[in-house]
Parts: sequence; C-alpha cells; structure tokens
Amino acid sequence: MTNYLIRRSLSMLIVLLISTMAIFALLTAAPGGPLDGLRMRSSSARDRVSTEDIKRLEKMLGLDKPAYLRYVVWLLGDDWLSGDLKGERHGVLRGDWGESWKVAQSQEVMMLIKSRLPNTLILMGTSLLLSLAVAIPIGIFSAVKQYSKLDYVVTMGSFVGLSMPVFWFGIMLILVFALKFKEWGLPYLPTGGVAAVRTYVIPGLGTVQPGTLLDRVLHLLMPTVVLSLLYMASWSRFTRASMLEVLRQDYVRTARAKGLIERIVITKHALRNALIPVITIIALQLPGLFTGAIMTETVFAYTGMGRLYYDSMTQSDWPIVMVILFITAILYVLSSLVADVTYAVIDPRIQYS
Amino acid sequence: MFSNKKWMILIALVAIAAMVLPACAPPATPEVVVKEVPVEKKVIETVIVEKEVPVEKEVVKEVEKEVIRTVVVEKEVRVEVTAVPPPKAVKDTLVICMSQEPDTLYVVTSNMAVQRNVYNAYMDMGSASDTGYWFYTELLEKLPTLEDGDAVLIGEEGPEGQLVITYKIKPGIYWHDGEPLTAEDFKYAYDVRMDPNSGIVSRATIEKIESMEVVDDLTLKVTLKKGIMDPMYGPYYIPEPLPKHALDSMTPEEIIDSEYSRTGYPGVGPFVFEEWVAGDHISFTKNENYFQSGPNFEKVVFRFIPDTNALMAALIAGDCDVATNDGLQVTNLPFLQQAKAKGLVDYHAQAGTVWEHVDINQWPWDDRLPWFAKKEARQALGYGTNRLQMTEQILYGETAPMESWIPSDSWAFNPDAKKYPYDPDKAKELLASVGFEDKDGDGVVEAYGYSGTYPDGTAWEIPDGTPFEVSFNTTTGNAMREALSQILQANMADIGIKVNLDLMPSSVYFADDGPLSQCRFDICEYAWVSDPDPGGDTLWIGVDILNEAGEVMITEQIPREEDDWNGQNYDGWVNEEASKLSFDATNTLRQSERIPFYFAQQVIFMEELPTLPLFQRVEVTGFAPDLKGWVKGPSNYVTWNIHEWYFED
Repeated sequence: MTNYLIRRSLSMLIVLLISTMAIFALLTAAPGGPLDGLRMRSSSARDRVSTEDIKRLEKMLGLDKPAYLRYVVWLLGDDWLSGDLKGERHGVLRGDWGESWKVAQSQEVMMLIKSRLPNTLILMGTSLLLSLAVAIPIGIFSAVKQYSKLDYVVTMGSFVGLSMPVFWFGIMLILVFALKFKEWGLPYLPTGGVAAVRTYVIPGLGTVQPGTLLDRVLHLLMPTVVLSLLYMASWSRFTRASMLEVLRQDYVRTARAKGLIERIVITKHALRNALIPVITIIALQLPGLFTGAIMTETVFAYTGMGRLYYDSMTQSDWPIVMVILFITAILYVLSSLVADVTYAVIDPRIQYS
Repeated sequence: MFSNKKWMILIALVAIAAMVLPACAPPATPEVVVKEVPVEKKVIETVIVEKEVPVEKEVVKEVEKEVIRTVVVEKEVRVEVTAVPPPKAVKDTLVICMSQEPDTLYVVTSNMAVQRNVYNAYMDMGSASDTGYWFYTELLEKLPTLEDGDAVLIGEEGPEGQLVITYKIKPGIYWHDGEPLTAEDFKYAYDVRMDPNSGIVSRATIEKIESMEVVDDLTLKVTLKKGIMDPMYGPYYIPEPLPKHALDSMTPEEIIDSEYSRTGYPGVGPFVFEEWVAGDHISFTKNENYFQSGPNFEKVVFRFIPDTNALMAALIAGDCDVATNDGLQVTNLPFLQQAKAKGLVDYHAQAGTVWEHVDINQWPWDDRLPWFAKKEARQALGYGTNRLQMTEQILYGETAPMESWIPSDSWAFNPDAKKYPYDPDKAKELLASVGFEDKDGDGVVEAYGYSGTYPDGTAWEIPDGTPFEVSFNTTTGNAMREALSQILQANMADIGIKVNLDLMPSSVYFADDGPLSQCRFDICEYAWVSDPDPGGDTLWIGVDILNEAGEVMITEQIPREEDDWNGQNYDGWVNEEASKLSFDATNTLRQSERIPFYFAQQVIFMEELPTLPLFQRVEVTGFAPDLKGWVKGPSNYVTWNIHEWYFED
C-alpha cells in the first residue's frame, strides 16, 4: 500500500501540472477577455476607449506578456525575474493566488474564495447529509421491496429528480413558498440570499432578525431541497442497483437459510457490501463541497463558490477561474485517491501492491 | 413496514391536508383597543355640527349622551372591523437589488453601470445626466456656461480658440470624516487620473485638459487645450472628486489596492459606507450631516441577484424595494403589469439612450461582396424592415421605431429627415432600380449590372446572377435580439433578400478580433450606449477633417488594421458633407448653433442610411408600491436622487 500511495502521489502531481497547463491554454484560447467590448461600450466622446487605453490596461493586467510567460508567472511568480519582467507576484506554488481582474478589482483571489467557502460548505454539506440520510434508506427499501408500489414511486421520483432542471425547479419553489405562501398569509420562505438584510415578519414565527440562526436556516431551506433532490435521485438509484446485485449473491441466500431475521440479513450482510460502490461515488462528490452548485446558487442568489465561478467566467476574470479549477483538480485527484483507498479498506479482496 | 392500504391512506391524508391547510390559514387575531381617541373626537364633532348653537347646553348634554352611546358603538364597530394586521417590521432600510456586483467602489477604475447606482449613495455628483437630455450638478453652484460668463472663450471659436472654465463649488459640503470638500479634491482627482498607473479606463476627456488650477478653496479653473471646442465644456471637465486628505499618501496604483476601493470612504453623499459582504450586499448608513435634505432612511442596502426571475420574485415578495434596470428586461413587462394590477409592485418603463440598430457594411475590406455599397440597397433594407412589428411584439409597444440615430425627444432630433415606414413594395422597387431581379423564381433576387466604385476609387462589381444572400450577426442569449433577428430575416425574405442568421456569444461578437471590431460582417445588430448629448463624431466621420491650414482635426473613424482598428464607423460610411457636419456639430460651443448642423447631418444620414436605427432600448425598473420620490429619465441612473426617496406610510 505504501508503494502504491507513493506512486499515486507522484502521478497526481504530474496530472495536476498538466491540468493547469490545459486549463490555462483553454482560457487563453477562448474568445473574449476582461477588456473585450470596451471600445464598443459607449458612443459618447466622454467615455470613448482608444487603442492606447486598451494597451495601457493590458499592461496593468499583465496581458501584454506572451501566454507561456503568463503561465510561468502564475505558477512561479515574477519576483525572481529580471529587468522589465520583474514584478511582485510570488506565484501559486508559493501561495500567491493572484488578484481578481473584474469581479472584485485587485482583491486577492484567496480572500474572495475564503469569503464564499463557508457558505458553500454549509449548503453543500447540508445537502449531502440530507441526501445521504434519505437516499440510502430509500434505495435499500426500494431494492428489498423490488417491484412494489413504493419501488415504482421511488423509481419515478428518481427520474423526475434527475431530469428536473435546477433553474426551473428553484424558481418554482420561490414562486410557491416565497410568493404564494406570503400572499396567502402562510409562513413563507425568503426568496434568496444567505441572510436577510433587514428584519421581516413571518406569520407564526414572528419577527426574524437578519443574520440570526433562524434567518440563516430559512434562507438555506429551498436551495438545500433543490440540491438534495438531485443527489437523492442519483444516489437512491445507485444504492438500489448495488443492493439488488448483492441480494442475489449466494452468501445472502446462505444467511437467510441459516435462519437469520431479514433485518440482520439486510443490514449486516447485504448492506455493507452494497455500499462499497456507493461510497466510491459519494467520495467523488466531495469536491462539490468546494465547487458548490452554479445553477442553484445563481437562482437563489446564494453567495457561494458556484456563483463566484459563474461570475468570474462571465466576466472573463481568469485569475479566479484558474484558482477555482486548480483547486477543483486537486480535490478531484485527492478524492479519487480517497475512494480507491477506502475501497481497499472496506473490501479485503482489493489489494494495492 | 406499512401495508399497501395504510400507505394509500397516509398519502390521501397528506393530499387532503395540503388542500385544506391553505384554506384554513388563520386570520390575524384582532386587537381590542379600549380607548380610541380619534373615533370619539369624530363623533363629538359630528354631533356639534348637527346641533344649533343657541341650544348649547342641550347640545352638551346630548353630546355627553352621545359620547356614551358612541363608546358602545365603538366597541361594536371594533369587533366588526377587519382584524388589525400583525405588526410590520419597521421599514427604515431601503433595499436596492441589482443583477451584478460592482467590481470596486473606486470610481476612477470602475467600468460598470451598476457601480454608478451605488456611487450615488456615498457620493454626490459634480455633473451627471439628469432626467432629460442634459446634466445636473449637486456639488457645484451651477454648471458653467459661456452665456453666464463662468466659461470664457479666448480667441475665436475654432482651432486657435481656447476655453477656460471656472467651476464654483458649493460651500458647506463635508466628507464623511468631517473634512470640507474643496477645490483641491477636484484637482487631486484630476492628477490621479492623469497618472499612467491610475487604472482609469478612458482618458478621452482628461487628455483634452491643458491645466487645472485651484483658484481658492471653492473655485477651480480648467483650461482646455487649444482648439478643443467641446460643447460639453460645462459638464464634462469637472472630475468626480477624491478625498485628497485621505488618499494622497498613496500612489494612484496603491489606491486601487487600498481599502478605499472597497469602502468608498470617505464620500460626501447621503449615505456612509457600513459593510461589503462580498457577493451578497453592500450596506450604507445615513449620513447625519448631509448637506442636502434627507436621506429618509437609516440604511440603504444594495443586494446582488443575478437571475432575472429571482430578482423579480424578490421585488414582488418585498425583499427588494428597487430592482434596477440592469437586471429587469422588457420581457418581464407582462409579469410586472400583472403584479402592479394586484398592488404588489410599481414599475417604470422608459426608452433610454441605448439604441439598437443594424450596421450595414458598405465598404467591406475583406472578400465580402459589397451588397449594400449603393444607397438604394440600404434604403430597401430600411423600407423592408418592419420596425413597428419589432417594437409592438418585442417591446410591447413601450417605444416606437426610431426615425433617426438621435432620439425623437432630443433637442437635436430633426423631424423632417427622411422616414422609413414599413413598405415592402417600395423596397422591391428600390432593389429593382439598381438591377436586382429574381430571374430564376426562387424567391431570392440576383444582382445584374450591380457595380460601382468605393470611396477610394477602387472599382467593385458583383457578378451577374449572384443571389442576394447576406449574413446577419448579433449576440446569442439575448431574447430581444434573437426575436428581432427572426423578424428581420422574414422581412428580408419577403423582399427577396436571403438572410442567414449567425448569432454568437457576446464575448466572440465584441472581441477585439471579432466580426464587429474588424468590420467582417454584412449586416449586424447591436446597441450604442449614448450620452444625453448626441455626439456622433466617431460614428459618422468617414474622411479626415482638416482645418484651414490643412492640419488634421480628426481622422476618419473607419476601423482599419493599419490604424489598430480605431474608430467606430463600422459601416465604412464615407460622405464628406456628413462628416464635416458631424465634426461641426460636436465642435460648436453653443447648442443653438449646433442644431442646424445636426439637422443637416440627419437629412443626409436618413437619405444615405449607413445604419438602420431600430429603437431605443426600453429600460425597466421595478419599485415597491410604497416607495416614492424616484424619477427616472432616459439617461440618468435611478439612484440619482436617492436622498429624496421615502416610503409612503
């Protein structure tokens, strides 16, 4: 196992390096940039942007340098270079993640990420836990009671959940639970955001102060439901399929033949083996704790990593995009390692040499 | 676990509960108020009026009796009256929702319209667009004019003349930290902007300034460079001030990275910065020492809601008091109209100074065919495009087709220039007049004998029999543009022109190497963002304008590779007379003297039709129904008078 871990670590580093090169190349090749459209932003003499203005701004952002040099500066910094190329950046490998170009002008990218990460962890963590708590029991039940009415309901529900467009479902929830419930005088939920910015009154709950736990929970409900539905749908299907396969195994039949009650057969013999692939899949979802959910956060105006990624992509703020994708690549590589190692730990038949 | 029957019963119960519960929503509990002075007073007054004065004593007695009876009645009435609603949260906080978050609060480097909405909260303006087509000031006593003598022309109006403008700052204006606003702050702002590392986006205005001098604490003198005969001398050359006392210890480059760019503190506006929660909101508190009246809120919060539907929902639910026009689209109008009818929102739809148009390439420099090199072909496009259908269907009739490149309510608009009502028969006649004919009967006309010379003398010719087929470019992801593209395509098909839609993302369309910047298009659609002043020199000048000495005053504005694609005359329109008129209109000081130039230019423009103006974009702003005091015009930012807003009780 030790040799395996060392080999995997080395290959991970190579994968990450190639990933950063590929991401950088794609972003450089993609049309558009932070200064595009400036010339056409106004026909007014007052706001006209000349070619000289654009060249000046390019120099400020470092866009006047060739692409390969910009990548080297991003990775290693430019404080070690000499002459005109010398600058103040230390590079990603020395903890300098760069500054935002447009989303938050000149702000450190890492500060932007830190400001949003806690919200994303709360949202994604809650959704994941809720999904696990619901999806796995439902999947088990659906497999044990295969072809029952509940199994059909769960199956149909999974298809609906998998097919449901997040942006539409989110808006529908807002329409019903925020607008209509308020119109009907029922307890209602806020339309979006992480927390309120002023006090509001909910029938039955009274006055809610902004920033309190109650306020945060109320704002979290709808986005959590939207995200959870997505995960529940897919994980319940995985669990059901895995469970069905295990239930057909000889050792399960043997366990029943030994006279064990069904509950023990399911939980002690079948479930543990059925969960192995499920754990693998869930482990690969862990990077989502960081990346957030772009659609959900945008629809609910939830200030998280997903929205930061969306804003930076739409505004061509490449420093932020590079860092988010880089960290995501690291997490995916680590999570696949975690999944493989967990697999080996859970299943003694698997051995890495 | 449960039997099937029990599951069915449970599901049925849940369904019934879901239907019953909304109907059983408890009404608000009535409050019993024992004393209600206003009601008693009313009763007494009524009694007195009904009784004659000489019988005063009797009146008193009767009044007393009446009072007693009235008390009883009051109790009864109170029981019958609709229950007093539960207490509302005190609305001392104004919430303004925008679709984007400002990149910075540092006005020098910001390029975003949403930043301006926020700017009006913590700063006041030296000069900004008013609700008409002019400018207003808050920080100055007035905008200087030649007529009033606070702007002076040295020498003759022309290349040798020089404008000297004196700005008088209002006394009694203080920064939020208590320091007075002085002329030094304006001068300092100019010096910062002139620094090559200031990060300023456009230097178009400040580069025309020769010098700026502080005469005294409240007087600033600006001297423009010789020959700059800018009719906007009053509003354009007063820079937005920066707090010198707070910032001059830093270099302009350091200011960009400083706390000032994230706080805008100190400002001089009605609100003081409180906090910026990145990605969520920026909040400001009331400036108790504001020099004007108001503000009428303790706090204002700018929230960021990128999704249009979510923004509307927040407005209707009352989470937002204002939804700014950057987030709302004209396609939201039907929903807003319904919501307004229910008393849930108010809204304002205004044709703004952003105008959509079709650029027509009449001098393609690549291997494109010059389909629109002749004005008859361009006029055919004009007559053949049903712009009224566009405004009726896409903009719900909230605006009318433009009859010129200048809005019809502008002082510079010429109502007598040629017009282009929808007339496909006329369009066909025009095409036929220059040799287009559909000989093969496929519905698309072909060119026959269609040739000419470009403005530089180069001959061009479209081979006989070539079908009139062009590409049309605009941006994807814009419902309005996608809809008008289809209308235009259908209209052109009716007159025999085949239009192939080639829509692309705006990052591609507007890229520096994109089809628009490098004039690689046949016809394309986009919008210009105009000032209140019509301007127009970089749009329509197609020849070098020389002075009497033969020196170039302004070069032709057709983008070409050899001049780094400078200029905005993407049509490649070359008309010497119109170019001269455009130059004169933008280099004559007095508005009354500019009007004839603009009028004459529009006559030529509408005859030649280098660009087909479509319509002014409708800006939609949503408001809470109890929010009053806002006034929105075609070019100003909605928060321009935020200190005058209030909630109607």
